[in-house]
Amino acid sequence: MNWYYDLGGQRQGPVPEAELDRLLAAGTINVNTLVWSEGMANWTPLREARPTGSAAPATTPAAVPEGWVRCTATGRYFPPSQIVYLDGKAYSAEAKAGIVQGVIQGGELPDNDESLRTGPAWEQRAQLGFSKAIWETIKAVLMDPSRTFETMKRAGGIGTPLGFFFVAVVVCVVFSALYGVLFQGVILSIAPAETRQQMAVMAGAGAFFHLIRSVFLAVLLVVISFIGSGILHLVLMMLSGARQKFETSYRTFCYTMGAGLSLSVIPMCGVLIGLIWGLVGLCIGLAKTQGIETGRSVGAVLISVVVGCLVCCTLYMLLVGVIIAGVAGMSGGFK
Amino acid sequence: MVWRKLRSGETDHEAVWLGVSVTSLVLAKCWLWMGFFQPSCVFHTVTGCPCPTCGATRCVRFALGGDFGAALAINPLFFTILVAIVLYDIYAATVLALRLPRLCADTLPPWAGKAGRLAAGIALAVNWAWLIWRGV
Repeated sequence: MNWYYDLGGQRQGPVPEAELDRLLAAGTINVNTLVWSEGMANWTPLREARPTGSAAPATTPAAVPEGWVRCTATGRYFPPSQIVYLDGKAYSAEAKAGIVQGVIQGGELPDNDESLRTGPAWEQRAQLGFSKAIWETIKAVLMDPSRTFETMKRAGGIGTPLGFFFVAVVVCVVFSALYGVLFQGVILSIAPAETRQQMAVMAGAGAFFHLIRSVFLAVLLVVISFIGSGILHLVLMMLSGARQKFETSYRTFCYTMGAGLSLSVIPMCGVLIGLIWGLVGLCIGLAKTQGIETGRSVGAVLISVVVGCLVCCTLYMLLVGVIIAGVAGMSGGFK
Repeated sequence: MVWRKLRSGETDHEAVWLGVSVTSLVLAKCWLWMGFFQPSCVFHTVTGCPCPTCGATRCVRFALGGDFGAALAINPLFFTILVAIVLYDIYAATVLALRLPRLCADTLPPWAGKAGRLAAGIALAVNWAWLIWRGV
């Protein structure tokens, strides 16, 4: 029997049963991955399409009998008769005490199974290809943040999300500069002939300014990603919401704000829409990746935004003060 | 659309949108009050005609200043969106404060998405025609 499966919103396959098991064991897909095979009316989560065989052998195939299911809390395999599904996740009777304790303490089901977290598509770019991985990640983060961050890898280094964020930053600054140069070009074309030469010199200087500004902006945004997620994680710690490491907060920040920045391809209001959409995604994303209530993640994000704005205002006023003092000094000082 | 309690692990959209919208409005008010840079419309400068979002900043300024008539006249669609945000925030604050069941779109009819996009497109076009006619 051959299967098709969904990976980052793209149909993959057909693959034989054994390959599907291998993908499951490798963490490329999980029990919630949508699959389809001939004879099925619709795409269905793997756990429903193969209710007694959705779990794959672990690292040693012979060690786990066929059809056994992996417990989300303990990571061990059990026969399907000893498994119950709570909130779409498989739990064994052995994990009962841990589940009860987790619900009493945190009000949530325990979820220690990182193998279920394989996304977003950017993490699979070696298989999907660069452009498809970028597009699928942006689409998934913007259109379905809940599902995307429920399956986002919480560890694995900051290089991968930083790479995604940097690509989004490059898109943002390139389009920003492009719109600026286009605007100047249009203004130049409709300008009166007598002022056109003077304006052309100004446009050349303007293009140079856009280039310098783009490089400065790209570096600044990458620095902001570290400072912003640092403030965010600090506020999360103050609100007792940092259940995962800084790396998880950073990964969430990069994927949400990177996807938001990509909306800067929309002229005029794209950056503003992207910023607001990014904040919404960050609230949802942090709740899913840190495993905290939405209210707490919203509080952390909004406190961080206010702190960030205050820091920016202070720096702006300092800069203005320095410039005024410099100008006054050049003109002979204050009288 | 049904009224129900949130399920375990379900995203609390009321909390998210209430928080983000209130913060955005407060920051917008601060931005205007401090007189920071306001971008001019490239489309308007080049063509002489307003773009579909022209007048949005003035609409916010009038609305925050309590002059709702002027806000409605300057950009009716944006003013309607602002009113919708305020109404949603009141609803969200109420259900969050009183822990009431939420209005959830569990089962939307298949044509709802298409109809929504069509309605948004028509609203945008009618609003743009109004802005051009008014010379905003």
